[in-house]
Amino acid sequence: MGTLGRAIYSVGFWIRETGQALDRLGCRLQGNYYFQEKLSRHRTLMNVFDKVPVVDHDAFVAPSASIIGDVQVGRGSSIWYGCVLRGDVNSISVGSGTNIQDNSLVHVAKSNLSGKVLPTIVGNNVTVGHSAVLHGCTVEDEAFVGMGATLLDGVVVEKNAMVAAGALVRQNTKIPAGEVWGGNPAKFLRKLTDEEIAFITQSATNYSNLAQVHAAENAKPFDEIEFEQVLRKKFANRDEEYDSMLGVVRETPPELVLPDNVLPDKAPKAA
Amino acid sequence: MVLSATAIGALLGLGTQMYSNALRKLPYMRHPWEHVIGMGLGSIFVNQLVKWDAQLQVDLDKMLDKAKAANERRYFDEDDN
Repeated sequence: MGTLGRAIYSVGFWIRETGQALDRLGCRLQGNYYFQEKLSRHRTLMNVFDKVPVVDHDAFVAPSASIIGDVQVGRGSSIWYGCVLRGDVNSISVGSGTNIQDNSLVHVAKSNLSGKVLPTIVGNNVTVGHSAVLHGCTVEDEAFVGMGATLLDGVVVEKNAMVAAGALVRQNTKIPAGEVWGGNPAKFLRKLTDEEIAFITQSATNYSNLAQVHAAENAKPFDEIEFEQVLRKKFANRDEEYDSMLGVVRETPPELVLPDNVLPDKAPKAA
Repeated sequence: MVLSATAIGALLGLGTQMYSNALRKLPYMRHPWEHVIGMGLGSIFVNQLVKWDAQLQVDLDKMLDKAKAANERRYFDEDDN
């Protein structure tokens, strides 16, 4: 955005602020003070001036996650609850079929010892475990970052490589394909077996399927949730004996059946 | 004259409002409608000030003329006696 765009942005800000003030004045005159109610202003997608996050339509972003600034999220990816992807000073790109699990933090590097400005690039079908911190690093396709791992600036995790849980990978480290690194600072532990490499893609598929279920459940409007609550109460599991005494056969209504594509072999794999 | 006075007054009002915001550590343009009020007040103030100043000048000139006349009267009167 040029200076003109920035000027238009700030003038728009002034106009909107004045409009809100007029609105509040109107509310005061009408005698309703609902506008003073304090609600969280959290939004999943936030822009920083013209840096708008681009999230694919098929990606799942949990309602409590924050995606801020210059972030791209690809098809079939999932950003889980409490994640922060903050692309304010540089760009973050997340490939397709990738899952970034709960409470993870992805940021970009602006000021570090070498002074390099680095984007964060996460490839396709990557699994990033809970509470991982990815800072200005590159994670290639089908890599695995364990829970609570920290990846510092300039780290490259190559294809099919794995960072063990709780590891701290130091600056500018390259983790070669098919290896597990762990510890603080992270060191080479051992080679991955073929089984484990197969599990990485398996885990990505599992998660993208799980994400679809969560996305469907999160997209439900308020009254549908209420309706399902009533249904669940009505069709709650009773004791077998109680049912047989009454001679009732209970059927679960189709609304209450969760989609079974949580199982990996029941859904198509995300590209 | 009126135009430039209005412009200067508007700038003064705007500057004062922004200064007031800055003193309170608020962003400069918090409550942007107050800046418009400030600009209005500032331009009225400067216009009135210019008007008052011109009137004052006229009045002062009148008083000086009177004093001059009195002085001259004294000067010539003394000379005559």
